[in-house]
Amino acid sequence: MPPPPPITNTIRRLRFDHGEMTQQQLADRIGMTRQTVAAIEQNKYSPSLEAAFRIAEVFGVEIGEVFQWKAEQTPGS
Amino acid sequence: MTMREKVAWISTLTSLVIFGWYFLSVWADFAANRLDGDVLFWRFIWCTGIALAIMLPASLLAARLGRQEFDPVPDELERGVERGAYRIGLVCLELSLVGIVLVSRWVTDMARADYPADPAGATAVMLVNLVLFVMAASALAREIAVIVQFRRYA
Repeated sequence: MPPPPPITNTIRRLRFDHGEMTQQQLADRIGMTRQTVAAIEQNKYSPSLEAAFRIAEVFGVEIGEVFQWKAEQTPGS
Repeated sequence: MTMREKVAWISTLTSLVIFGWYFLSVWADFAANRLDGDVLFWRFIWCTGIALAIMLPASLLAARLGRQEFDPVPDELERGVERGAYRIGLVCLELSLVGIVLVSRWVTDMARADYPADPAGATAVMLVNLVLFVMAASALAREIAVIVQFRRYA
């Protein structure tokens, strides 16, 4: 398993801001298992772009509000 | 724990016990120079039947107790885990089959020496069981890879 990219997310906070949505409820909304949502939330697994958009859509926010790139340096800089 | 991981655990433990016993019995027969293709064939059929009779109800029970679907559509993480595990299983199988080809000459010589009445039949029995062994070992490696990857994401 490759190391996860330096991406953080605010899924946990967004879930609680949306009526304390459970991981299972979010998983059901995006067609994933609760375990996959937990792995994404803990930055153990980086979801596909489609899954990232689906998560953002559930919370009604832009994808950048859910996932943030935390790299110190970008290639070539 | 996802249903896929539960199935992998059930499959791994059942295979280790049932087919572990089968291949130990084949080894014991081989060591005692009393390999019998007919006996081994029916022993293998029985072991496969018993393994299926354990795995299927155990998986159904695990799904029921966990209130999960028995065979859910895999999500992207599960597909990735399965892809990686299948790749490991395939590599194991390919390398093992090449290994069987390399030892086939030695198997033939041994069959000629130990079973002079029917060396061709003995060769076939030994090679078939070697193929069965590497298939079972590759499947086991695949299931263990599934478990390890799911544990790393847990």
